[in-house]
Amino acid sequence: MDDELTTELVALYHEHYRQLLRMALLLVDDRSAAEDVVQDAFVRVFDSRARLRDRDKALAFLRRAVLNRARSLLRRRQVSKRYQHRLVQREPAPDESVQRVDRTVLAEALARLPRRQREAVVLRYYADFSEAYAAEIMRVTPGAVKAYCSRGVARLSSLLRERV
Amino acid sequence: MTERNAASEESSDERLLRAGLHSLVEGVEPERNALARLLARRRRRMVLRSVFVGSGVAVATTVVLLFALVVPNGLWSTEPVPVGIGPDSYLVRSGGGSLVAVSLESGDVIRELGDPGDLVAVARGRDRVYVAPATGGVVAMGSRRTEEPLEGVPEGEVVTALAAAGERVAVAYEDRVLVVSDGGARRIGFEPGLVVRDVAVESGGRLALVVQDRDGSVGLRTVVPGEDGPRRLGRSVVSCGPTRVTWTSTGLAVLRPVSCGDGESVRITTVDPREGTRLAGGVRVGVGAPVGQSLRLSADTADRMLVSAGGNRNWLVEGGTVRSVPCPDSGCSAGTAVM
Repeated sequence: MDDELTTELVALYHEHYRQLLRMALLLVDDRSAAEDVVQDAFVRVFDSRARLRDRDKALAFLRRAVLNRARSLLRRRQVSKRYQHRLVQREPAPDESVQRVDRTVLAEALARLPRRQREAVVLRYYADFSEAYAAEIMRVTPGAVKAYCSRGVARLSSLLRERV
Repeated sequence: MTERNAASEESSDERLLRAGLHSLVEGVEPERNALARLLARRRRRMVLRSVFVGSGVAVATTVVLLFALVVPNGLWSTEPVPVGIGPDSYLVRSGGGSLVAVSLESGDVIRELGDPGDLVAVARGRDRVYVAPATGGVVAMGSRRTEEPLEGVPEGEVVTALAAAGERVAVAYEDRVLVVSDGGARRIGFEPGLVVRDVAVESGGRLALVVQDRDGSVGLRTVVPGEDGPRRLGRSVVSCGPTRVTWTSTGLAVLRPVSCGDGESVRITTVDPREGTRLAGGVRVGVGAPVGQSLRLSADTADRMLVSAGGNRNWLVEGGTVRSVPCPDSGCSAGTAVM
């Protein structure tokens, strides 16, 4: 029994860990924090055997858990006034490519988005979720996701134009 | 439901943003030990949970213990009770002689199973550990240090290799293999003169064997339930041929010397169990001594593999990464370790 659940957990890891890690990184900016967020989510999913037996439920739970833990992390950072955009602070070295500079600018702009806009943008444009599914993960309505994305894209475009 | 539904209607800003976000995290990969950390955390959490649950169970346990104190020892059943070893651990005889489950990460002893005496082989089933003592037979070991001879296996005959998966145990002798399961013992015989050097069984019942033919060549064979006879998956001269084999989720992992003769390195390749063709691999492990029959290869459910050369010489192969595995404080005995 335990072996089966472990096998399921390992299968989930192989199939989704990397994408969840990248999603978490876009939400929290910090590589090691993102890894902790995803690890926590995976450990939590194991708490419910019923969840592990239904792959769709397990995956939705994992994604929601990543989002919730990323929110908690950002909230803690703001409260402790130690909020640091590590992706942003990584100053490009003189010999770094134009592409790296563009990535830094985008990371900075993304970090300046309001939390919900940032989540909606990451779920829709990085994870490629539909509005309905992103809404389910964020626990808002599809209309809200659409609005967050619309405002998020507009704000990102504006922020990027300021920098370029 | 999860796929985006309006990609064609996206504005150029949206398309640029999509490409930018993917580019931003391109190349971000999980840490090398992410899966091991996850499994270790999962195990610790289970232990903690059992502690909380245990407060409720404590009363019942106390009653059982009190009962045990007043009941004569002879009334205890000797049947092994299931033993949970933990997914991120391996089994080895410690320096003190006991068979122990040891954390792959820390070398901490997770569980002590008792002293089985001199061993020929160890194998790990779903919830049992099986040992083949040097005196012959196969014994199932459980928690509470219980031991019971495995039914259907001759007690006095020394086995050459042992493997277990799920509820199945494969016991190899020089000229035959016994597969023991709930359905009884099934005997698989081979042509005279053939020697079985290693065996691996998967939970579905398929067997993989390293066999030496009468002409001295060494090769792989598989035995599939419902098929007439073993399938032959290629042959090599003995010094170059496979020495050990184990099942993984993608096929057969085969351990063989890197160079024929006196090499001190082995290579693990993954082989298609139907065709015998090489699927992947080439991970090289330096074992620090001439490659021989003392090596052992085993795998866990995460397809991590343990190469054991006995004593403190145990290596974990995870993808393309090879690292040494820590022994418990009392050290590892000369016998080989298995996952």
